[in-house]
Formats: sequence, structure tokens, C-alpha cells
Amino acid sequence: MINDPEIDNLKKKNPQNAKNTNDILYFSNMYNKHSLNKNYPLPGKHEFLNEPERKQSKKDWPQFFYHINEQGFRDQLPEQDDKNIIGFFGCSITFGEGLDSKDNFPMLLSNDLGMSCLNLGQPGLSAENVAVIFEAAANIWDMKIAVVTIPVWSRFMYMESSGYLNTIIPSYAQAPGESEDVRKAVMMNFSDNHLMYAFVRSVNSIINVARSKGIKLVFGTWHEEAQQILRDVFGYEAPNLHNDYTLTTARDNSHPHPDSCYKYYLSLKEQIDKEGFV
Amino acid sequence: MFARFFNHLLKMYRYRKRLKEMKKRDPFIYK
Repeated sequence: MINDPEIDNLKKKNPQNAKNTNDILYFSNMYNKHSLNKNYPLPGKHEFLNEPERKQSKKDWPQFFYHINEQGFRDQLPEQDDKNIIGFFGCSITFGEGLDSKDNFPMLLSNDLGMSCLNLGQPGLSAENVAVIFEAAANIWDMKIAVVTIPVWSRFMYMESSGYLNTIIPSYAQAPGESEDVRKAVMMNFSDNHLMYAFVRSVNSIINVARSKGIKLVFGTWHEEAQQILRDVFGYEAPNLHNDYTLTTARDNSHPHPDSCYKYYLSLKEQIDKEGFV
Repeated sequence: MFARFFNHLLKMYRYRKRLKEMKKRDPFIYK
């Protein structure tokens, strides 16, 4: 028989069981304290997410702060009775790593549309993690529109023995331990096809949830191969966030520059205006 | 003995080759 703590963890992480704002906490990096997330900050106002980000950041960038809410996400979450919500889902690019919130596309687009912004992007997520957060959010908030900026297909969701939800990023070594062993095993043994099919199933899950809840869904991406799968497997032309990383980046010298995020916001706006929903 | 060593080298070669591909595919540094 499965023991009680394991069942309890599965109940918490079952997106079908998410009902209140606080339930989204179980899907945040802050709650899931696995080795990849050891530096994720606590609720509050932070100039940098952690010391490594401070060290690698540009020194001449205008000062800004990350506001981490009680559920571990960025900025304030809308009230549950708000009926004018646009949700944003994805990885660090949706979260806005290295960027002031006002320079990133979730804030730009929600302000433009006069809607409440629900930003549930978290650094490092895979498509499968995004799908789980989307499903939980769809049970908590009544979203009119959702913008899912789907990450590259090679990332992989993994639940550790501790019960924490982790992402395996094949190219990124984690601290020694279970997830690092799994990362190496994925690299050695998992086919590209397996990872791509997990990506396809995650996209399907997002589409099915959006349809069942009547949410107008827009997919975007920052990766050409993800865009190719959306186009050729799903018949959906997704806006792409292009950024030439050899020329320009955000404050952290890694993520897209505000100009690229602004262009992406314009292409998402165009997609919504022409009703290019999935 | 030699076969095991050869297999190990082959595995390492495949690992490094795939790591290179994956890094190119997903360049973001997660902190």
C-alpha cells in the first residue's frame, strides 16, 4: 500500500484539487525545494533572485526589484472573483528573469488590454510543468485569455523521492543527488522522440483544459523547434520571441532584452486581435 | 576488459555529443 505522506503529496500536486489561491503554492519553485531551486527567494522584494544572478548581471542596468508573492510567483495575483483575467504561463521568460515587470510582455499586454495580469511563469520549467500549473490555475481563476509561452521540448518534469516537483534540463547539471542522476540517465538513455512526445502530450493537455473551461488560448514560444511542432503537429502558427543573444540580453546577461519582449508583446497583441486562438 | 573500456569510451562520447546539442538547444543558465 502507498503510505499516507505520499498520498497526501499526490493530492496536493493534483491540479484537479486546486481550488484556492494558496493551492498554486504547491506548484511553485519556492515550495518545491529540490536541488535546482535551492537559490529561489522567499516572499518579499528582492533586487536579485539570488547571489549567482547578482554576480553575472550587468552593473549599469537601471535598478528594479522582483516582488515574490506568498505563493512564490511574481507580483500580485488577481482575486478569485475577478472576471477580467489574462493568464501568462511559461518559464523564466514569462517570469521575466533579468527584467523589470513593466518591461516584460505579461504586464505590457495586460495593461494594453485593460485586464488583470496573472503571471504564473517560473524559472526553469518544462512544457509538462507548465501544463500542470495551467490546469491548476484554470481550476482557481476564471481566465478569459491565457498566453502560454511554451519552452523548448528537451526539458522534462521529474518528481523526486522527496515529493518535490523538479525540471530536468538536460544541458544543466544540478547538485549531486537524485535529480542529477536522473538528468544523466535522461541524457544517456531517453530518445529525442520520447522528450518530444512528452512535449506534444503537454500541449494537448493545455488545449483540452482551455477548451473545457472556455479559455481563449494563445501559444507562443521562444524556440524554433517548439514553434515547428506547434505548426506541423498542431497546425498552429505561434508567435516567436526572437532575441539575438550574441548581441543583446536582459540585465542577467542571459535572458531576452526588453526590446525583444516588446516585439513579442506586439505579436501576441496581433494574434489576439485577429482571434488567433487555438 | 577491452570491450568494457571501449563501451565506456563510447558512452562518454555519446554523452558529450548530446550535451553539446542540448546546450545549443537550451542556452539559458538557470540559477
